[in-house]
Amino acid sequence: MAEINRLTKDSGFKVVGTRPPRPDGIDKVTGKAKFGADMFAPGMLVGKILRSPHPHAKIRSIDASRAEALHGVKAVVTAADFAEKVPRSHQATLHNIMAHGKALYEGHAVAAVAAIDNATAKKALSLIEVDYEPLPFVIDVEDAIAEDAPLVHEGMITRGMDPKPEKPSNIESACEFGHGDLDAGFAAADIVLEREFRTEASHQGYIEPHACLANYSDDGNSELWCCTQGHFLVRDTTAPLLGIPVSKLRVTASEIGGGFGGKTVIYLEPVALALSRKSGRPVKMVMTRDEVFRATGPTSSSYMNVKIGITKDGRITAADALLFYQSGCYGGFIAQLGAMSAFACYGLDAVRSRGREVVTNRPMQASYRAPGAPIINFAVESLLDELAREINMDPIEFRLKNAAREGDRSSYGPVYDQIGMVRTLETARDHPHYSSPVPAGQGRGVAAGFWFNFGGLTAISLNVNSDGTVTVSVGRPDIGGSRAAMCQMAAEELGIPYENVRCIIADTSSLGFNDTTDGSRTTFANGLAIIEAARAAIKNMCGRAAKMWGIPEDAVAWEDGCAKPSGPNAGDFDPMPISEIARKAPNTGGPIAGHYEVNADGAGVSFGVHIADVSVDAETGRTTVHRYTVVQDAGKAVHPSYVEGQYQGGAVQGIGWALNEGYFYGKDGKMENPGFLDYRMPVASDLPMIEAAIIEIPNKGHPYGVRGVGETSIVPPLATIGNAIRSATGVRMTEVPMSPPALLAQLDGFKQAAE
Amino acid sequence: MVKVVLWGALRDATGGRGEFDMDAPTIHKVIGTLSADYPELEWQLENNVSIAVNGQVYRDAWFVELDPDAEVFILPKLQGG
Repeated sequence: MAEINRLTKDSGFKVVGTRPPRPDGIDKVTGKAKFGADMFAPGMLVGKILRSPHPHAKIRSIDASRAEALHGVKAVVTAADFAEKVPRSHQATLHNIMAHGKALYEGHAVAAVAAIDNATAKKALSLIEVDYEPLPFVIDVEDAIAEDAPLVHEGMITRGMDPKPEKPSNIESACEFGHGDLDAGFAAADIVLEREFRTEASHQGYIEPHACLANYSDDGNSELWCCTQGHFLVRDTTAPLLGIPVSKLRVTASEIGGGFGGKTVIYLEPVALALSRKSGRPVKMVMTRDEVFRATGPTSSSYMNVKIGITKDGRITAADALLFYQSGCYGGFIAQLGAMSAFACYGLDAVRSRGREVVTNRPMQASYRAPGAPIINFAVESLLDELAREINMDPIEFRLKNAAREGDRSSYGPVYDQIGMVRTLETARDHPHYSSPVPAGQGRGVAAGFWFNFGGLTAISLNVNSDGTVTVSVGRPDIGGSRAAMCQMAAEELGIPYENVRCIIADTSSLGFNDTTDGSRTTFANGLAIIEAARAAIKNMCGRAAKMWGIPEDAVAWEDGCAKPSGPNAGDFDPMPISEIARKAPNTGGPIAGHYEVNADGAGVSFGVHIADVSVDAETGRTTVHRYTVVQDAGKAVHPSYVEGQYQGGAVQGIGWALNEGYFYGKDGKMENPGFLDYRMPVASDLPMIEAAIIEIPNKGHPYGVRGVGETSIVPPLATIGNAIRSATGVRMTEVPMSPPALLAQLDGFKQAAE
Repeated sequence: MVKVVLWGALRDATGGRGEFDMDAPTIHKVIGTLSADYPELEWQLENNVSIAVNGQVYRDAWFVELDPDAEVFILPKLQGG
């Protein structure tokens, strides 16, 4: 079996690697860009959702008659208005968008109304009478796995556990990865440390709430406008939930004000479409910030136990992790990804990671940038930091000694091909930040992280316009600057100016299926498809020139945007630019286009190493980040400013998660901080400029060596900050967020112990 | 023989067995053989897995050719954010 090798160019780029202006910038800063809430339709209604006030309750009955009778109300929907039978993969979504018989968390949708205006819709919600029978509930992950925990789903037996449990529990699934003899590995260690770690849930924090406009026509054809990371996913999930064929629904993706994984899930779209179908009018729905927090998926909270053994000279002999990830009301996949990524940075002979997905009465979890990885990384990298201190070894040298290399078996199973862990560590070690003296009163921390990166289903179309400019249609929403990168790759391959290429996000009726914009896949997968489509168009154009010159097609070459005779024997013709070929296209064979469809594999894993200098105010427990550096492999940075932005953005989100972000629940099972005032995310004034060091180790899976970059940068920050706090204060934080009150409590305890 | 390793949750359908040796020229044949022996696995194998062949991860690539001594890991479907 041949390895995937598509690499055709790793140097001599003319457009790739430059920093042209972003194509969406002007519209975004002038307010012209159309986001999810910016679409309007004649006769449009306002849709609103009635949400459960209880964290867990049977729904005995719903009486919407008074709401339906209110003047201005055009439709009310409940679970009964959706399909009864849906594909297995959509069942959790069906039950999450609208409660079926039971409310599983505070904020769970129970009914929805469409009315002529906001005030009428709100009034209508208050008139819907729901007879609830409150049930015992469970919020915290450790409470959920306790012997006597209330069950979220009656009769649920853990999948993947051997032997299979006999008693139901809140552990939805179990997984295990690893290899080698753990007992022998720990026996061979000179030092073994074992610790418990806990993290609270963190929301993706996108600044744009979920919003959509749905229009169901009498002939069954429907349209949806929504902010999403995957409008094909929206179509293919919404259609079966409403019992309509996929072809009847056309979805257009708006500009998006952040997603980070949280908009790979659907919440409003089927509800809006059901309301539109019932009312016969377009329906617009926009979540409030309160709804975003109470009813959309954050990442998991966790309880973890990690044990690592090392020799006196710093070699890891064994590593073991047990992760309990709280996944909200339905089990997902985040514990699996956490378990797979736990020790992936290191080449280990004896390793085990066990993941447990635990359900609770909280909103269903959703992906958040490298889902699952930052959580376990906090635990593992914190413990490695302690171990390095035990033997007085430099933390980067310690990691280099154990770094995963080509030929090592990964902790999650497959053997590594060429990877960049060593080079990333060496670059961090040699970075001016690391070699600079630590300023007085500050502490320095380091951590490494890993992420998989993906490719996936991709279909694009490239069209040469009559004037020789080019339009590229892609099927993945642009959530991080991919349109600029697409234009650059098309321009590079065609040999034309960047300014002559425009990239649009096409709707679901215009292209084949495209996977969501997640998994750090878009520049990689879309990019390779665009390059292939450009090559197809070039072949077509060379053929046109050959016909016009009367020479064989293989006697024509393409260079700098022109068809040229490939050698002196081909004939003496002036180069024919793309504009001329395009102008003559109607007479030489018709429109000129290229397209490419693929399930792109070969994305390649990536590694990052972060360095942070912090100080801690002993009076308030506040941590100040003074300097922060991200070192990460991009394969080939198509637009370096965007790559730097991805590194910086991931780091900032990780720092916010580390220092302040977390869900607070009251004894009544209700979230107490569903707003940005009390759910404190970093803003620009909180942090220094994040330094971004881009390494380029070409990824053979892409023609230009591109590797995904969007997610790895959120993996190391929690541990980087924790390790820096340890350096600054002597205190090892084992719980996230490491907020001022939490840190102050530890500092006071540390001080008392020292006295 | 191709060595096939299943990740944990899939072993529910195989009575706990996680490793298999088989003649299989492609991933499609691996899936077909496992599905025939363990029908409960079929939906998962067709919809919900990523497959690593000698270290290279594929999400959906039934016709990837396998060397006679290939190592195939059937992993959870990898997703991102």
